[in-house]
Amino acid sequence: MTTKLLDVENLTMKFGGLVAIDDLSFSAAKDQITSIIGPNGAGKTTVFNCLTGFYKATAGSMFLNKENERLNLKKFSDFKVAQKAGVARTFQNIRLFPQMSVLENLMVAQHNKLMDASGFTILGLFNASSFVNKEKEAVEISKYWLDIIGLTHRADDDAGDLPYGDQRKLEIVRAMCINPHLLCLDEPAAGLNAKESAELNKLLLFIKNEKKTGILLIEHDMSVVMEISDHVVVLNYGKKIFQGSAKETKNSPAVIEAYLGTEE
Amino acid sequence: MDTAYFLQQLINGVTLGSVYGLIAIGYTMVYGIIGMINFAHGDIFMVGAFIALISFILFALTSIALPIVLLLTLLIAMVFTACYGWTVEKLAYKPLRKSFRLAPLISALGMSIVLQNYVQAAQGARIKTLQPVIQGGFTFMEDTGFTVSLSYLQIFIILVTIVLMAVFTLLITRTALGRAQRACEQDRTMTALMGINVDRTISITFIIGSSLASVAGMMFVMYYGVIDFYIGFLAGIKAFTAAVLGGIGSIPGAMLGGLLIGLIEVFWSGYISIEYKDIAAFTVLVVVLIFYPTGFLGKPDIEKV
Ligand SMILES: Nc1ncnc2c1ncn2[C@@H]1O[C@H](COP(=O)(O)OP(=O)(O)OP(=O)(O)O)[C@@H](O)[C@H]1O
Ligand SMILES: [Mg+2]
Repeated sequence: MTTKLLDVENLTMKFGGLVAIDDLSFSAAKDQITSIIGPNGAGKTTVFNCLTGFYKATAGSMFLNKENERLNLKKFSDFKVAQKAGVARTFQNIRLFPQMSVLENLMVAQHNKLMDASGFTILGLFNASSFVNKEKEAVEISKYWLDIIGLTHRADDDAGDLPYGDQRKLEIVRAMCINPHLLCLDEPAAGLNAKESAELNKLLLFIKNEKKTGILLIEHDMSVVMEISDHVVVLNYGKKIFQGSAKETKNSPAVIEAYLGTEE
Repeated sequence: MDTAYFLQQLINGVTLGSVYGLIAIGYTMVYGIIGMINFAHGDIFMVGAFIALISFILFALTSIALPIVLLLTLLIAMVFTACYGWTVEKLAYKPLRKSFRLAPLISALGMSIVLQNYVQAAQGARIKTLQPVIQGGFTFMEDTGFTVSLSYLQIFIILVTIVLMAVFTLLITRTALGRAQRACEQDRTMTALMGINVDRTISITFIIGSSLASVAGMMFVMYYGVIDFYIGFLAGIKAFTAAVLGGIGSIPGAMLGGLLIGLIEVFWSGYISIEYKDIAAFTVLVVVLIFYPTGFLGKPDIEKV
């Protein structure tokens, strides 16, 4: 039995009369990839927005279970989502810092520990060894991730100059540089070709297996979802219509109906 | 005589340019990080000048050695003025951050008036004078008929400016704080999702900008010896022009722009007409913007999706 990392309980989000999420409950495990799928407008991104404090959920609760504490995610917003709760996310569109170098994008994600070590920048200015060492360590971590996604040779180029597929991968490893407990990815395979999707699968499996980071994945690309998901949650009009393994999902009449529509 | 005269203008221009450059950095940093023009920045400079003046007057009553007085005044001006800058941001801009674009701009104009009136009420409307703090200097080329002088004060101003600009350039390019500032410039939402306290980063930007402006204020009162509550207006507009000329958002641009505006103003007064010196800078700005719409070192707007 795997340990539960995230518990979403009876989550509801209304925008005026529109119920974007309707009484949704599901869990995500620590060493698993949990996919959220569903037709356009099903409410997938809204789930992420509730989890990361962008929206205040109308009702329900979300808990993140760490080693010995249970965090109520409703209490975290803004920078505390990443800093205190350890939840990282990406958006449907790419949001790198395009005019900073590839390396710097990863360094920004390690800001908090560097800021502590730099004694609020003052020591940093004087090149105090505590800061220099931490900075070196952060560069090492960044290089480690660049090596994994094969971008070491582009470390000093502007992130905005990378090809699309590489930007996607960089975004994911940047989120990993926060050292998150939970990684929320919103359609990371959008716009990738078959080869790039395969590389993405490899990266996500690596993160799951080697880094033991729980992944919550929103994805339309079924080749990604079916291949790497341990658990799939299917939404339609804000409601959970199915959950189960990838194989069970593929064969579920309810899911097929939601995607293809009923013949009536 | 001609070279000597030219050299003198050059020295004066670089000195004045240092003052403008220090103020311009504050405009450019704030614009870079939150995309607003801080119209109250010139008045922050004026507050800095007053704090420096008061500090000098108080130290004149003691027998503390000059270098220590200079250092202490510098620190006092920077710290107190930074508090003003920080407060202005907290009171007038932060509550409007999610509001429409023009709101903080209007609020900045309001803060500018508040600061002017506050200083006028607290210090009086009449000009304040300061006895020369640093006297003497070098003279050379006396045989040409026109004596070029480089005062110790000018050397002090230029040196302090160079040192401060170097320190703050290092800060922006080399430290985690500077990285966070540049990240905020590009995408504040994403920066917050990296766990970075964006509000605090913005506050620090105001603190840095204000303390540099206070140093400019200190230089100004030492150089001219007279100030009043209104000096922030013209100096602010010229420094803003400098920031735009160099490319708003760019720190090296602000330094370059400041230097250029200082030189333009002094050479215009020296060779063309002293009465119209104030329009010289603006005329050049218009001409430059025709050919370089984003200023000399500015980068074109990045498209945000
Ligand atoms: N801020 C908002 N205000 C009003 N309605 C919203 C808001 N955010 C989302 N919605 C609505 O909630 C519903 C769910 O949107 P959501 O973005 O979560 O869908 P999605 O499942 O991510 O779709 P897609 O696959 O197209 O990304 C949609 O009908 C959308 O219009
Ligand atoms: Mg979506």
